[in-house]
Amino acid sequence: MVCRLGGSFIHYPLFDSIVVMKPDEKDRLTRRQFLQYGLAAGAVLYGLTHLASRPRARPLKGFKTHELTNALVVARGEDPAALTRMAIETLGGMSRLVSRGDVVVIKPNMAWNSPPEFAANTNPLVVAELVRLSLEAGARRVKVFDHTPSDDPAAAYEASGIAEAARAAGADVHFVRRDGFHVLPIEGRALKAWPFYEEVIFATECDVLINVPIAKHHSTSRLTLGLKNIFGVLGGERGALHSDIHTKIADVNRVVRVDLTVLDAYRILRRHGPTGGRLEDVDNSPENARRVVAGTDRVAVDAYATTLFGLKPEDIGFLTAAHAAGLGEIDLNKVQVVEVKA
Amino acid sequence: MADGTAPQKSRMKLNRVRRLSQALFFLAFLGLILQARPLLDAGVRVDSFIRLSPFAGLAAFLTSHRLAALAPLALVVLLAAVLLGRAFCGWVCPFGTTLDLTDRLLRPLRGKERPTYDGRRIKYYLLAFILVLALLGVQLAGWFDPLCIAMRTYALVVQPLTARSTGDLLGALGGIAGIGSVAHAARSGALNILGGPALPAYGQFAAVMLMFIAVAFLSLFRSRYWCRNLCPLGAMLALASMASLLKRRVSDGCTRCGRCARVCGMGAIPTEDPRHTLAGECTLCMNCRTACPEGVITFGPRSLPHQNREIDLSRRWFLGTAVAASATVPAIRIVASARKGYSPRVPIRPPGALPEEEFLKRCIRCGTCIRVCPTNAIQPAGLENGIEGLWAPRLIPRTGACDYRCNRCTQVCPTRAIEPLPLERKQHTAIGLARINRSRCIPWVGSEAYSQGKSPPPECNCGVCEEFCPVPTKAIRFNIVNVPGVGEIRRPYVVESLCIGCGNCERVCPVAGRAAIEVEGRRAFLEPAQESALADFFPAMLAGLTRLDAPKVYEGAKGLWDYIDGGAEPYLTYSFMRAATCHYVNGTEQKLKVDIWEFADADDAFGVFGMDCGTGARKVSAGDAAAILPGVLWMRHGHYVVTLRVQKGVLNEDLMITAAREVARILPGSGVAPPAMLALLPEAGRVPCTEVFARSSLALTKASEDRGTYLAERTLPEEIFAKGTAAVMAQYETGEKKAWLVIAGPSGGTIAQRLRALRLAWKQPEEVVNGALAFAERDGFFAAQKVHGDWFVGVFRAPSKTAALELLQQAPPTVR
Repeated sequence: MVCRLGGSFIHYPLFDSIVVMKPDEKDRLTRRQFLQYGLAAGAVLYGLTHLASRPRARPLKGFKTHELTNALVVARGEDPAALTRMAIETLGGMSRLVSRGDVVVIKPNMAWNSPPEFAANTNPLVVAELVRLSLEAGARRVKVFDHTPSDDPAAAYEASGIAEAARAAGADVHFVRRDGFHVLPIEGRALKAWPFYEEVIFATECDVLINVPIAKHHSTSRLTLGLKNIFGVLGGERGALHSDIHTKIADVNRVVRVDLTVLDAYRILRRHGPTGGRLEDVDNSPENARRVVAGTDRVAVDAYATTLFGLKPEDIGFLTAAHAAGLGEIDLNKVQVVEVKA
Repeated sequence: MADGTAPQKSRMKLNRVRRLSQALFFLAFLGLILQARPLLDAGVRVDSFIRLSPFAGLAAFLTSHRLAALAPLALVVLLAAVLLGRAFCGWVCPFGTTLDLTDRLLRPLRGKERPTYDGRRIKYYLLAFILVLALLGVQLAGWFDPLCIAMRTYALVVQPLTARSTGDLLGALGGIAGIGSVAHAARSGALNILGGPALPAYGQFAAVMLMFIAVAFLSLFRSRYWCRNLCPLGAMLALASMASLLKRRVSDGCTRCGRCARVCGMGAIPTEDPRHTLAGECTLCMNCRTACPEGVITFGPRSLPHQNREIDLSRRWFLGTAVAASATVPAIRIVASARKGYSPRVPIRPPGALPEEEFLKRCIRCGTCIRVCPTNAIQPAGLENGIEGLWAPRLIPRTGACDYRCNRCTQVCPTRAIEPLPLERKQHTAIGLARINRSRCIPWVGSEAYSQGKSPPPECNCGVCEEFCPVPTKAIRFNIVNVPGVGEIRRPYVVESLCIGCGNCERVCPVAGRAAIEVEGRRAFLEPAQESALADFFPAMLAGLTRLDAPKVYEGAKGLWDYIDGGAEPYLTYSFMRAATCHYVNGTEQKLKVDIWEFADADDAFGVFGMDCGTGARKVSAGDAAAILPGVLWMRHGHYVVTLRVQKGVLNEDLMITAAREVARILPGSGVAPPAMLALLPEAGRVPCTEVFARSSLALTKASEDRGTYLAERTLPEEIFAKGTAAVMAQYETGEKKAWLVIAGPSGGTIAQRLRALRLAWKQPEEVVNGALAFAERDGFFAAQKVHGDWFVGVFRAPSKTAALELLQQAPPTVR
């Protein structure tokens, strides 16, 4: 059935036109033409789809060589942006991590349609400051994203305030691509492979990965800190990760090369995490919160954060699992903790 | 033009204006669909086009007997039809515009239009049929209303198709190295325009699409077949247009060439006499006026009488449709009633929806709420709950769940079948109830296997449902069982009074196929009870003791009177909110009563703590502050005051302190500074743990009484305390006895007068020493007072006048 707007056709009875699909004078195709058109179109389509589906061998991102100290910095004070800057400065400064022309990926927690004061997402001021620091150190591009568990990431990106703040600071904030997940093997105790997001896995997509979680209570894993925040770069059926969750958190962290963890403890969510929803559950006190914790040892950062909830690092299953996997130090006595006040 | 004649250029202007009008309204219609959410958030009424339809509005009014179902906009359209005839059909209706486009597309296939039958009457009978059905309580108008059909077609079929194909195409190109990033950027941009970035998918896709295709393909027979013969809204406007100001008139000079009849899209001009017009069919498209070579066609208020050809409707058929409608109603009810046995879940209606029966009567199945839902949760129903429910909105949690912070669907219903709900109210409105299927839920299946003596299952904890429950106090809790060798199995259960039925749990449940937790629609429009948060703070185990019973919560003043039966007044002078109490036991030998009392602010918690602390209580470290006596521990933490009282047996102090600390960890907020006023109390000579902060003399009196001395009410009567006045008090060593120092203020300038009035009442001999008043109290004690500006400083129960005055001088001279 061929239709053309505004042409002049001789009217054919309906049956001829639709059912047996008979052409009129100008419409005729011979068998040779049919074959020619078919081959031409087919070749083009096949070419395009072939180009799109060729598996590219892409090198994986390694850890960025840096000159930051391996201390654990705890910055305490009133202004989240100033705390972030001070923490990074105490570590040695962003230019000791980010080289000129680097692509920096900042991975906050912006998974929930929740405003900042409910402490379900990372504080937008912390994220924006990290964007600024990266650009000041000469980064070519700073990308900010999170694979939200909802089908409506726009709501979480906006409500958290992070998209706006990060964009204003100069970052490229975008949604993850559904087809951007690639399965990588894991030498894990519970997981053998899992889909990871390309923009944190491949060397061409990311030079420096900064993980920016917020410290929260979590009903299944007890707490969600930096190591659990990595779930936001995973694809697949993440619900299946919740059985034996502690081992699986450690397993996925074996693959993702996090260069720096900056934990937002300016407000912490003490109960009913990770979604929260009550201001009474948010702790913004100087005693337990109003901090930014930064360090290159992601296990140590999380270990420190457990103390804000009145717990010990050994109380948290994924910390012992991560420590056993050799991902970092769990004993705070063996870590150099530097406290600075802003 | 199609018949070969050249249009009169000068008269084409009106045609162009009409096409422009059609284009503008159509673009507005499309825009409201594509950008529905951003526009709604900006305050635009995205259901505007649906509200234009007097047919749907009238039908909704007839079934519900509520004027709110009929939008004023629809009456405007009806009035316009009275004045302007069916201009709406030719100039505004987006469905008409769509059909004009499909007509052009299909014109090559259309045979010569042979008027073999005149189907114009059908639309009048259809109108009658639908309206009689409505009067009898069945709402089917939405299936036949052109604006609803257009909305459904574009929102549920065209937009998803277009967005998805654009997204897929550009996404595929994005895989090609080189143009990848450009393609991705183009994709984001295109999807933003097309209503993305989410790509929704709606059920009933085929049904809605086929209906549209069927209507569009009717133009193989005649142009604007729907509008001529079937559209009930067109019939309604035709009925209204009897007194129209714009009737077609053909003056003398007509050569009966018949060109106008050929170009009339609605077939309103009979070929045998083109001077006539079929009444109620003209949509003012102006084609005839433009095509007339003699220029004799005009539009005006009075048509020449013989030119108006009235339609001949049949009385028998009119009655017939009414009868058919009355027979249809019970038929529908029979089918629905029979289906009830087969029917699957009770549908979950959007928040704010009227009760089911009312809802189905008023909903016109326009699909606007389905379109604005950001999580793709709302879907058009099929026939699963009976024919009446076809295309009515329902939530399918596995597809999408209701976003806790969204109330968009409540803002867009054109007939108010869904009432607008402010967000807070929506968050407390239950649309459904979640139920866990314990034979599918991973932890329940695991623990069941264990309890049946099978080998302990491998890791069978899950908890994703609880994780995603958006209710702030979580409507899913865990029932924990300890399996030796395996550890804890946390088995979820639903707290029915808190569950709002949003479906997030069902959406994320990792069990394949049917979820282990399913949400069913509630039959009644219920609001879940608000649970007091205080009950949450009592853990199952406290310092090795097990909780004996469920916490009892006492709300407000009334609750407090019920609880402590007198003696409640001092607490009420602080901002008491609620109290909760619970018992913990260790077997039968030890029993501990734990009280958590909540106040509106931390200063008041401080005050109550000070007031309650017994004499000689020893300071210990728990919470913000704590003190202990044998068998009792008081603690304040944030704006809570916690009391632990041994009721049976003996508990050693360390245990009580541990218990207090565990409670403090659970309580939110801490590290709160003591009331600023405390800084006014001098340090020297102060007896520890006697600081009191109060908002009434009653509290001060009670505090002093508990510490073994009694400040008579007369000493510091209530009159001192103006609204907003607070007081701090502490005991000081003054020789053999302990005196009390009180600093109260600010009084708003009234303190001097109050004291003057009091002194007249006391009639005590007094002495003025350095601006301070010193006098003897009853029973051998002495007191001193001084007013510093707006503040009052007083010393009571001193052993001597000198001691009183000495202590008085220690109070800082500059009291703000």
